[in-house]
Amino acid sequence: MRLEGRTVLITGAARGIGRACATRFAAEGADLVLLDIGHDLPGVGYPLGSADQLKQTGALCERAGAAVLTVLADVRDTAAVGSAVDTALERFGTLDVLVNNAGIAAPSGKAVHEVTEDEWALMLDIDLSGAWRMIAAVAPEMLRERRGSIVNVASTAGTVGYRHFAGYVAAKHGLIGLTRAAALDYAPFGVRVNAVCPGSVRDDPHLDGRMLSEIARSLDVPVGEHEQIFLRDQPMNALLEAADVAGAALWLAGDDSRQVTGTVTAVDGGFGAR
Amino acid sequence: MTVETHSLIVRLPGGADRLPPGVLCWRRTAASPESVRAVARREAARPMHPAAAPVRRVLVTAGDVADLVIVADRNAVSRSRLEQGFEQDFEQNLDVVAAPWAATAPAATAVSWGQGVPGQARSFETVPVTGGEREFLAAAALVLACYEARDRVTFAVVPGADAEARLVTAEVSGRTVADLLAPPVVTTAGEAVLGVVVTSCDGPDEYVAHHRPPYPVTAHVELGGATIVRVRWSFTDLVHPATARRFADQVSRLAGRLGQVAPDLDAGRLDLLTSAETAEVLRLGDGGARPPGEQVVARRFREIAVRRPGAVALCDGTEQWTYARLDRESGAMAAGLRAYGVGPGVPVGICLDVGAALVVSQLAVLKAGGTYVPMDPGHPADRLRYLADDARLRLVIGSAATFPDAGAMTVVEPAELGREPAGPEPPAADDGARAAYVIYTSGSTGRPKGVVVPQRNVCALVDAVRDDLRLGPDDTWTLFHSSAFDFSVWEIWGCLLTGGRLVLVPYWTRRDSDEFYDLLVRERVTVLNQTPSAFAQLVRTDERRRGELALRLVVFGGEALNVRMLAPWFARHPSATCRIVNMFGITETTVHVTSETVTPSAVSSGSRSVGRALPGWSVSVRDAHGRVLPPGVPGEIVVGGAGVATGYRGRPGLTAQRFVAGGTTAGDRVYRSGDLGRLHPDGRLDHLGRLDHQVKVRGHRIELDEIRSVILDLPGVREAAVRFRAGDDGDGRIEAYAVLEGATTEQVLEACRRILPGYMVPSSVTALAGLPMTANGKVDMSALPDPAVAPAPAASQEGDDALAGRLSAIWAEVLKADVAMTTNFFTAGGTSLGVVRVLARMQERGLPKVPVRQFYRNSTLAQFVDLVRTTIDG
Ligand SMILES: NC(=O)c1ccc[n+]([C@@H]2O[C@H](COP(=O)([O-])OP(=O)(O)OC[C@H]3O[C@@H](n4cnc5c(N)ncnc54)[C@H](O)[C@@H]3O)[C@@H](O)[C@H]2O)c1
Repeated sequence: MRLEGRTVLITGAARGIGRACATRFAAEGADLVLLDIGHDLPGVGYPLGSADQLKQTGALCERAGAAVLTVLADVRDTAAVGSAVDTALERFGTLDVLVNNAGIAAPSGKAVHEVTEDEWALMLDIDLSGAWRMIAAVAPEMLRERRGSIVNVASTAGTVGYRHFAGYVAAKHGLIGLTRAAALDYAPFGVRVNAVCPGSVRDDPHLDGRMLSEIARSLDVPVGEHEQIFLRDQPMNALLEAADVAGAALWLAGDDSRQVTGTVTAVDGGFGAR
Repeated sequence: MTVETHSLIVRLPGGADRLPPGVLCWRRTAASPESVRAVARREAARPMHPAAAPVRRVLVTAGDVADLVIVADRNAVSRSRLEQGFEQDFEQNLDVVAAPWAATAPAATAVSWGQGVPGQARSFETVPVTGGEREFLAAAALVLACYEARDRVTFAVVPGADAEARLVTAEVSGRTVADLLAPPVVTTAGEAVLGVVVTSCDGPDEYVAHHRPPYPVTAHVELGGATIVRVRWSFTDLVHPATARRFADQVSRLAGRLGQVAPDLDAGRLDLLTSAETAEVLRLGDGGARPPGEQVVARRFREIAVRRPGAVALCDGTEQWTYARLDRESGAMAAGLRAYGVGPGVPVGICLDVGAALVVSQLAVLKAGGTYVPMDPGHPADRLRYLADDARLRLVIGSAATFPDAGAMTVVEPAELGREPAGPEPPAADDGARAAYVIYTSGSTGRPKGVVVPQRNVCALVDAVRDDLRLGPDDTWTLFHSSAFDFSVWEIWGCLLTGGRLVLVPYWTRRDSDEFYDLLVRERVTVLNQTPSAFAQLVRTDERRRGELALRLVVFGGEALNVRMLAPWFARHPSATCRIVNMFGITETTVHVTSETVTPSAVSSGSRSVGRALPGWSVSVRDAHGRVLPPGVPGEIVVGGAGVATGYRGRPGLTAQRFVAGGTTAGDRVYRSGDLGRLHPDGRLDHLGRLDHQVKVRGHRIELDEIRSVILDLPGVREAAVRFRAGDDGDGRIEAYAVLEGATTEQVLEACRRILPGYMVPSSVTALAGLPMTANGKVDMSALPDPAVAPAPAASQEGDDALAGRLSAIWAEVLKADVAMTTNFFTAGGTSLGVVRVLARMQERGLPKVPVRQFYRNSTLAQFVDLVRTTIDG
């Protein structure tokens, strides 16, 4: 049990990679604060995680023996984020790990100059500023305890460009910058900050996963063939499972990586090797 | 900033429905009704955030079983309030109480015996505990006294959850069980390492008085009526997890025993460790099996000589001796020795200074089956005579001039023996149990005693370290130490039995750090053995000279190492290129016992570890009755295994006293070293000084070496020695001596007052230019001057010219005394280190360098001034 007695807050935990992280961490002995928005957003052209989906993640974790607190909050809302963290501290007394996983892949699919002001702002507000808001709310607690690990779920889009994905690419590049800067700010206090960069993750129906198909839709890649097409970029010749990302996040969250901070871990089936 | 919490778990009889509506609580379901309590306990132990409400309630349910967990801030909610934790208006009526232990019993911030690992705190329960509260407290006092190595202990008792903590003391030495069971005496002063919280519990509800343990060791005793239902132990990370477990087990066991034994039994007779625990501790200190190998020195040497006859064995000045030549000439000499009647077991004195003849003679004696008795020709004639008598020597290899009245003893020059024609060499005796040598050691009391060491011990020593230290034919060693000091046994046989090249260091070079440094560079020495005191000088020379050393291994032995002195060395020589190994050893256990590689991080942590026992050797730490002590507890270091000597020559009484039964296997003898040490839970040994350096001042047991390390750690102090002088009034004085480099004696004293308890503060600190050293390179405690009462006077005697004035000033500084032109440096208290100091100061002040040996030959100030003048003129 690598996270025995640790309390972990995961954003975007209703489904997908967030849910995979939550259940894996629960199996490793962690107690969990599961956060998600719980409703759709007008500018995002696909459904976001629902309150039911979040409850479902919670139930899976409890079954694995974890104490669970679920919180509905939008990572764009400073006050909501703050009160979510306060509630978590009331319940658990401390927070040891933060996984910044909440994110959106659309609105995308346009060349840079075609992106509207609102689309650009929305993308950065969630994918980059959301992580910053969470860190700002959680870090004081970690600094007080002089320990903690923050894992930011970025993307291969945080290290290379993708056509017609400027907002997402910019936000994920920004998230890696934030990771490195925060790592330096907090290293003297024993708090670590690292990023994970997943490649293409298979939409797992058990996790209600759907991001890959949304990315495909944005890129005008025919959904149905998109898995084959995305596969070509990953030399391991397989799409990733969300559990692969959870495994990396687990390592970064736990003490096995106690001297690791400010790093970027690619989980991309070899995408970055070429 | 952390909230001290206590908690209560209440089983709700009618399940969750019993809970009045409107009571705010978190809810959690457990996997099964049976696991409800376990989950509840986890919830009870959760920390409370400083900004959170002072009460947290969690309802844990499964089926119709429900536990309500109420966790509260100790400073806001009393135990009695906590009982009402499921009332609706609970939050409105909180009372403020001070945490009981905060009031009167300050918790200690250090645990001398703890050896904790940062971040590794431990909490657990021990059940069942037989006996009641009195037995528990008495047992706790006894165990604590063992760990603290004290006769009287102080700890805290918190009687009842809301009561104030009291400090109590208990005297354990010379007490009966009945004495111990009497109520402990309340005291006011002190800090508590151990706190015992006593609460009573009834029914299925569970109260926990603290979640963050208030003391480094906290025992929460839960009473059901008069008996102990359960003890919850919490050890902070100041205590090693393994020690924590053992400590708790010992207290539980002893509490049970105390109720059963006769009340008039001497409490000191109660064993604290079970035989299984004792065996486990003995295993910790066991260095493992002795590696197999040939057990006879001469045969081992012959193997190497046959394999690599042309390799250089000895290097004596410009003369090189191959293994073949050494083998041949020692064979010839052995034949000569046989002609003198030397055969199996016959002792032969060897009174030679370091040189090829010394090594040839030792090997020859072994080849002839005899036992060599090294004698230092520099030692006083009286001592040499005593040795010859005591060892019943009939033959000494040496110079007849050294033995003016040899009597019936024959003194023969090595050259005479070597002239005998070497016939075919008879095979070396094959008995590894036969004595190789007898080395005389002078203890702190009594006459020197001859330690008889068998051949197989020497071979075991080489086998024990050869692989770890990677000793082999590419190595060049020095023979630096007098053959009368057993460090030389290691230098000679460690080198020659691994095929290395041994550079013999002449007398004067040993005394001149610069010349020795030149030799190390010139001969590309790879393996160097030094006492820490001697190495300290070399470190300084190296800092100044910055020469190209080929050293790959430095082995310390002979005295305790203060690792901090190595900082400048590591700055120039990374541990990857030159490994530093500290070895603790005793003549009676064949030179070395343990080995520890010293790293730069050990330097910064000021480690006192001397490492683990060598393969074949074993160490344990025991009390005055010879009982094995657990890790953490200081006691006498006892050594067993392959190095244990045969005993003291001709002293059956003393031998029986120091070499006793008690090894890991029946029949094994162990040696009681008289050194004070402490085992680590991983089997490493801390060396804490000599037992006889442990003195009693005003009833306190004091470690002089502890005072010494405090002084050594001060900035501006280079070397230090501390001694105890018994006074007429039965009490005595602690006198400190220091070689200062920037600090003043007042500052040293001031710092001691700040750091040490009053009874450990030296009554004087005397500055010295250098510490006096024995011939073996150790600090010579008996040669320390009387303590300085007032600051030393400045030079008062003016010489007849400016040069004499400057030199006399330097002498006066170094000797800390007035000097006249007729003053002889050595009779005025000058030491070999003093010589080095004088020469160093001359160098600093632009005066020429004079060779050390010339100093010895011109040792009055007048002669010395002349010497320097001719050096300048010439
Ligand atoms: N799936 C992939 O192939 C892939 C590849 C690289 C990186 N990632 C990244 O992994 C993370 C998780 O992706 P996923 O595949 O699980 O996607 P997903 O859409 O299934 O899950 C993302 C979750 O974040 C939540 N969320 C979105 N905006 C939010 C907001 N403002 N406040 C709170 N919660 C919000 C959503 O409700 C959703 O439950 C994202 O950051 C994504 O960029 C995914």
